Amino acid sequence: MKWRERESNLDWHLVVLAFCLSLIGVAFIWSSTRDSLSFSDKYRNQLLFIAVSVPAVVVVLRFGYINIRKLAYLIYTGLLILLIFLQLFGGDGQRANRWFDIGFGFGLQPSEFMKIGLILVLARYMMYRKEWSRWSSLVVPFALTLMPMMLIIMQPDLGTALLFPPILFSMLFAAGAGGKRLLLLIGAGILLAPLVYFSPFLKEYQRERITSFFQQIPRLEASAKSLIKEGKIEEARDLQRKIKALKTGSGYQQYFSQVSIGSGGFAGKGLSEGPQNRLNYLPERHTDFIFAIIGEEWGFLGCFATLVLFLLLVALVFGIARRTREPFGKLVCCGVGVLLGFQVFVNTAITVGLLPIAGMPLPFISYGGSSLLTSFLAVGLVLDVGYRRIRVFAP
Amino acid sequence: MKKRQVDRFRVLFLITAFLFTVVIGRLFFVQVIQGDFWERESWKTRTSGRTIPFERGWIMARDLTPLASSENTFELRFVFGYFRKESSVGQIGMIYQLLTGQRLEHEKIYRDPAFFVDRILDLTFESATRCDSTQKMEDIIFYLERLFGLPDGERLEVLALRSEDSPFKSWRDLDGVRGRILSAVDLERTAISGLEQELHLDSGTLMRLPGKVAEAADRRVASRIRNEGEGEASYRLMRRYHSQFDYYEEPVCRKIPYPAVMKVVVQEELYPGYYVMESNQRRYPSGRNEICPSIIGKMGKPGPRDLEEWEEHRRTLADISVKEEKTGQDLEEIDSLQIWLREIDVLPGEEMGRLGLEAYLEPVLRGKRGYLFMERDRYSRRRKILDYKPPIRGRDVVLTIDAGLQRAAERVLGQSGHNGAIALINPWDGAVLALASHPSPSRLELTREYGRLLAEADHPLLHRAVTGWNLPPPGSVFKLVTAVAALEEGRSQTGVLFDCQGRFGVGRETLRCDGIHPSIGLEDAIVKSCNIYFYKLSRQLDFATMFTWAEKFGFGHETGILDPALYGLPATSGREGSAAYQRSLRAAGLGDSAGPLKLTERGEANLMRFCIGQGAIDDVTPLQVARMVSGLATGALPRPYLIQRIGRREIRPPRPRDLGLDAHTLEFIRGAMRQVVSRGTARRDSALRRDLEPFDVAGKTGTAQIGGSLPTHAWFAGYLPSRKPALAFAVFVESCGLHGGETAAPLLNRLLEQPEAKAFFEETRQ
Repeated sequence: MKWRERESNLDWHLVVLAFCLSLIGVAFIWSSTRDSLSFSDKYRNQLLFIAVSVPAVVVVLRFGYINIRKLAYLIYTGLLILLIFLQLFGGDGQRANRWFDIGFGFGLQPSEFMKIGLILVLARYMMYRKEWSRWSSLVVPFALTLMPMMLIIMQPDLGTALLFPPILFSMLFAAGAGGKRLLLLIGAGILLAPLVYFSPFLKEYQRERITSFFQQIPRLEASAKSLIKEGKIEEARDLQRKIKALKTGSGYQQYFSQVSIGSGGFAGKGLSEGPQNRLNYLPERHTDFIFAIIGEEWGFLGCFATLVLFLLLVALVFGIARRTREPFGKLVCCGVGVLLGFQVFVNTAITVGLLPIAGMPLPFISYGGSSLLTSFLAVGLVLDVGYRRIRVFAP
Repeated sequence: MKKRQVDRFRVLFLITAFLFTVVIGRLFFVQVIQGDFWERESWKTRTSGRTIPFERGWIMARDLTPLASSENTFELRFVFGYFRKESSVGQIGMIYQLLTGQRLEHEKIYRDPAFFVDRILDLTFESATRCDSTQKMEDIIFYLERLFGLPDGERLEVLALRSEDSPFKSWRDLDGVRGRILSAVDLERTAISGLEQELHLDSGTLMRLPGKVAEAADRRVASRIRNEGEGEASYRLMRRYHSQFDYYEEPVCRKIPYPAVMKVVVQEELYPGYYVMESNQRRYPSGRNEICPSIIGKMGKPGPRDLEEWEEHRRTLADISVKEEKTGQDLEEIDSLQIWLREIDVLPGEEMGRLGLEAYLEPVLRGKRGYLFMERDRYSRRRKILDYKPPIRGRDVVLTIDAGLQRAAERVLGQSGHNGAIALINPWDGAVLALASHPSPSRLELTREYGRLLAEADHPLLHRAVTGWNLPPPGSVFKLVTAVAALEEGRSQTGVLFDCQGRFGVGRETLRCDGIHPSIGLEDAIVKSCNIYFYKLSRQLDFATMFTWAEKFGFGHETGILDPALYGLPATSGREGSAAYQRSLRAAGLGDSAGPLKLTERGEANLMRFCIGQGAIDDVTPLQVARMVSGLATGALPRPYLIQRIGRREIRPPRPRDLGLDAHTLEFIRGAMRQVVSRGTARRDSALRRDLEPFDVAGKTGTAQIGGSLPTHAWFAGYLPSRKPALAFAVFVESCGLHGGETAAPLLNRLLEQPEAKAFFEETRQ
């Protein structure tokens, strides 16, 4: 195989989309860290990460996903060991231990790469399986998903972990498992969610975030009032305590996220002109909440355009998956499409106040090397699948 | 199989697309439909504004000597809203109040912190769990957390609410809490008493201050709502009103020295609730240089009437602001009210003219407050100026007063030992050169002992040159008018002689003269001030003629020296209680109140008295008399005015009204007035070696009888130098029981001997 041939057969639309999105990311990272002394070089770092990601994608393309397929279990096991290692030795117990320090002030986040590891291993396991009619056939895929998921929840990194079930279900679905059975499982999962809420895996602050979302302040205050009328002072006081935590804790982030987005209005205030951004009201605005800054500075139009770009990206990925006959590649594409789509949905939904807060970066746009590299690698895999489709399986 | 697989990817894509649509829908809702609301939230969180004081216009004398000036200073202010949150003492006070329902005088906490800290430590635990309102409970916890210095709320909440499984039985068990609070209070107290010394305040002033301010805020809240029971809703409403009214800025000290400024600004945390503001302070010449405080007046806090409008709008604003759900209209109204409040004329805490010219000239002296609107970041650091309106300086006012003459007149009058007044005007245009009155309050008395001044029997607050509570008749000075009337109307000639035997019977009354003047002419009658000559002359005259001539010479009317129309000021008449009305009342000490001529007192005897300046003409001011002699000096009656320039606008007084007098009449009268000084009644004190002769004065003395056995008033009015008049004067000595020539004329003599007077004539000669 000649590189030139591959190049000409690459899905350039996908490449252009990925670069467009990551450049939007650089622009808003610049905008949101411009004024801060310690952060002002973040956008240069992000450019550096892009520069690192491009050769990584080229390596994937040269190596070929068929070869990667052979390594799928190895990659998965390696990453699992890294996660266990991190759980045992990482961090100081105070803040979430998600990173490996690799020097120069950069950290590596294995849980990000685990997303790809999971997609690979699931695709590898499911690729030639046609028989999904028995419940037992679902045991292995579930086990493969739950192991890293638990480890990541324990880090704790609820956001990343929550991505795993959709990947699993959509890949099972794509691989041909019974739709009804999957729906049943999803339903059961939703019913079990309260159990997870009270499980020891969740930290206190995560519970509060969830409560803070579901129990909106005005509603809480109203119910506190009615409790007082009924004479249940103790309960009312409990409620009042929650309201306070809401206002000062996680509620703050969500409130200011909405202030930023809402004040952008239809057309936005212009890049780096948003006051909420400039005046540092929204924490984490160059990472998980960068969409709020897009909302403030580019308004509804910019948000809409960004989401359309993402949707196009997902559509292209699913398109490649549809046209591919080789089952591993097909499943990988499916996983990547769902990964990106779901991640974008959850991140933006959190930012606009549709979902409770969970740490989740916006692919290609949020600041962060691991996240960016993962997104590029995922797209690289899809590109390779797209190329091979023509080469190997063309009629 | 193939068809089925295609379907499955379409399903996945459709699910993704659906989820994205939900997000886009929400975005549309938040950004486009709710956009204005969030923009407002953003605006509210990031902006803050403050006003910038303006400089009040100066009041200057004719030669630009400042009579009232302004100086930029630093002012110490106190805000209770910050105090109760940030100061340990404030926190203790609030906790105590929330727990017991009684307001605690903060002074007590300063005096005996240990007692109250112990009470709170013991009380809190029990009461906090028996609280009737969750909001109150929240507040108690808020203040406790601040007081205990716990970094995050959770720890305390855990302690407060899980009392059954908490190892703590009381707040006391918290490590070192008691000691920490006590030392914090101690630190604050030391800092505050240090500040008191620095500012030369009485010991304990600053300790009492928070209590005083809190009480005022309580009153304001109470005026808005009745406290209906204890319930949650009532507490919340009260609380919201408090957050509206607790942030008044109470001026503590108008001018603080630089070291104190540095203290409060640099060690902010030691002075919670206090802050330093740039301010503008009025200054007056003091001590030996003090000059006419009674004319200039004084500044003071605005009274309740002045703040009526403000108070009304503030309340409306508070009522709208405390609404739980605001409509778009409410929001707009809040905006407009806020702008209105910042543009309003007088804010509490600002000073305004409360007396004299300061009050009268309030509309021009007052500038316009500036405004600074800033954007602040999350840490309250100033980042950007959004709106800046520089303060506009008030307009300067130049009076016609000659500082030297005024000072000399005040001094001479003060040394004379009599109550009285001196009015000096320029006879040609009516410019008031000096207006002195005695008794006259000093600057210190005006500011410190205003109440006493008001109560004093001889009314020091009324400026006798222009007003008074019991105005005198002009007495013999008026004979000049009678003489002019008789000559001009052709009723008599200068050569007509009458016989004076010292007494004159008319009807059952006997009128008297000071001496016996056999066959006396008009000139001598003026020079020697013979009453009987004028009684006899009155037979040639009648009331109508006399009234006409009295009015021609400006009697019976106010001089209009403070007529707003004259100076282009806004009218002072208006609705009772209005700002304009208030101004006119406050300047009343300067307002001229010359009484009307008494048209009802008819009869021969009354006409005779009228002719010698008694009876029908009963209430005149020295300024009127000075104007009358100006008319004789120049042939035209000027309109007296006090203000020469407002800002850049020159005040043009109306042209003097030509009296249309015959040249011979004028010459005759002037000659007679000249002789009053050279050989007449004004020469009587030659024994005291005082002689007006060298000053070339022309004048007429007067002795006003006010009936019964009351001592007479003395007058001396005229002009000088006689050939080319530069100054018209009226000297009035109240209730001295002496003749005008005995007291009033020597007073003028002493005045003219003053170096300032000499300088004045030097100047006019050039």
